[in-house]
Order: sequence, then C-alpha cells, then structure tokens
Amino acid sequence: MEITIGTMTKYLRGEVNPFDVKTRITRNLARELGMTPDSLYTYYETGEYKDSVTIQDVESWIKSTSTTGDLPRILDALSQSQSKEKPRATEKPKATTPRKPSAAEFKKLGELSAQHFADIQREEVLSAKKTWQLFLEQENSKLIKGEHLTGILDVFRGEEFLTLEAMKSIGFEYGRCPVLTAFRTMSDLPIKKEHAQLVHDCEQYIADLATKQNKTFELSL
Amino acid sequence: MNEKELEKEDFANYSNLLNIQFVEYARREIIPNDKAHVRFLEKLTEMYGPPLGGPVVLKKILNGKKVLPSEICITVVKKYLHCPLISVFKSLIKGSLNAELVDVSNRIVARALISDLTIK
Repeated sequence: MEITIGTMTKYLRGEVNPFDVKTRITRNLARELGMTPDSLYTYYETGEYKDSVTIQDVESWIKSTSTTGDLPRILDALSQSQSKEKPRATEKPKATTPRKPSAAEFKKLGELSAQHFADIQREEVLSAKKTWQLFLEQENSKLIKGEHLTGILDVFRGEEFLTLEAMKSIGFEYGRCPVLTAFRTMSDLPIKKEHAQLVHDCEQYIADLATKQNKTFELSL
Repeated sequence: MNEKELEKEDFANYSNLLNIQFVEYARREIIPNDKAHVRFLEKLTEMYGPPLGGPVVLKKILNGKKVLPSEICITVVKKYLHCPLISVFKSLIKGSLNAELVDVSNRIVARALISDLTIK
C-alpha cells in the first residue's frame, strides 16, 4: 500500500479524516480490498460499501482502461445478461384463451344486429327492402353465398337466432364477420356500446377457434 | 290422373309448398312471419271473407306447423273453383309464384272438384 508505519498509526488513531487521505493511498487500499475508490468513499459516508456498479462506471472503465483482450469477456457477460432477461426463442408467450360466450349472448348479438339493421333504415330513411338491397350492394356482401344471406336475413327478420355454429360457419368461410363489415360500409351509424362489446367478445372467441384450426379470422372492431 | 282420389300425402306436399312460398314472401318483404301472416289474412279477408277454419289454423298452415285439412281445401275449392290461397299469394307477390306450387295447386283443384268430400 506504500504507507509508512507512522502514517498508519495516525490513521488508526482516527486523527485523519478519511477524505483527506492521499489519493494514491486510497487507490492502493481500494485495490487491496478489491473494490473501486468510489465504493470506498461511499463506505466512508454511509458505513456500507457501494454494492453495485453504475453504467457510468462501466462506460468509464471501458473508455479509459479496457483493452482488446477484454472484449471477449465483456461480450460473454453481455450475452449472459441478455439470456437472463429475454425468454427463450423456443418458448411461445402464453396467450389467454378468450371466454366462450353463452348461447344467450350469441342470441343477443343477433337481436342487436337486427336492431342495427332497423336503425339504419331509420337513419337513412329507407324501407326494409331498400335497406336489404343496400346491404346486398356492399362489395363485401357480394361474396356471401345465398344460403348464408338467407340465414342473415332471417336473423334480421327476427325469425332465427344467431348461434355459435352459424357465426363460426360464416366467419370461417369469409375470414371475418360479413355483417359488421357491411354495416360499416353502408352507413355511418355507429355501433352501440353493448353491441360492440358483444361483437368483440364473440369475435375474439371465433378468432381463437380459427387460429386453433389454422384458419384466419379478422376482427371487425 | 285427375280422377285419382286426393290422399294425405297430396295435402302434406301442398302444405309444404304453401309454407315455402309464405316464407319467401316474408323474406322478400323483409318482415317477420307474424307480420306477413297479418298481411296475408287481411288480403284473404278482403278478397274472400274470413278464412274457413279460422285465422289460427291458417297461420299454422302457412308457418308449416299444420297440414291443410282436406275438408277445408275441398270445400273452398268447390265454392270458388280455385284455391284462394294461391290467389292471395298472386295479389301479394309481384312476379311469378313457385312453379311447383302452382302445378301442385292445379292438380289439387282438379281432383277436389270431383271429390265427394265437403264441409256442410
């Protein structure tokens, strides 16, 4: 430590403020203890050694002291640090399965769709026939098969209930809900909150089923 | 062929086709079946008076829940020389009716006219 016995005696007697100790001696003491001078000063102030190295310390050391030979160790340390933080590439993040809406919720969704169809009639001042014609004229609707159109019409007329099976069949066929798509293109009338929530819940479930069967289903909202 | 007696299957088939035509009418009008029935009943009453057998029976027939009773069918056909249900459909629907329905109706009428069965 390059210190005389006299100086050591003064230090041991507490006659010298530790912050007044020569820099060279502090540096040598820190090396002897295996820590940085900064950590040693923290000990003088708080009675505890600084227990972590700051990013500034690392940056400073790399800029001032490190050599090319240190690079492999630095990179190895970085690699270990990254692998601790990131999940393994082979591990898929766990997705939560959407709740299966009840039959009553699907039924309600059908009723709200019929109501929205009727609301569009009022909003656009059209007869039911004209509104249905407008529905059929939408680009997306032109792709819908006759059997599915009949089913949709019967739901709008209040003669049929919407079911999971029906919505799944139509959703898988077209990759989205063609009714909501047509509603949005045929009128600016916004979907009511309750309707939108049910659409979201039911479509989330259908989308999950589609994913499990390697099919695609695009959410409307 | 027209001299052959009308059988249960003939009325069942006719009723099924009447139901199909009725639902098609409701779909064309974009109205519930109940509302379509009201319109049908109003038109029938306007043209022929109250339906024989009553409106409830008529509603069940149109909705496919009951077979057209042979006695009612034969009695009405003999009275008007045609089937009033077809005439009502023709007045309600623009364009032609289901061709199979018209064909079956013609055969039912032809046989009903020579049938002995009537409601007194």
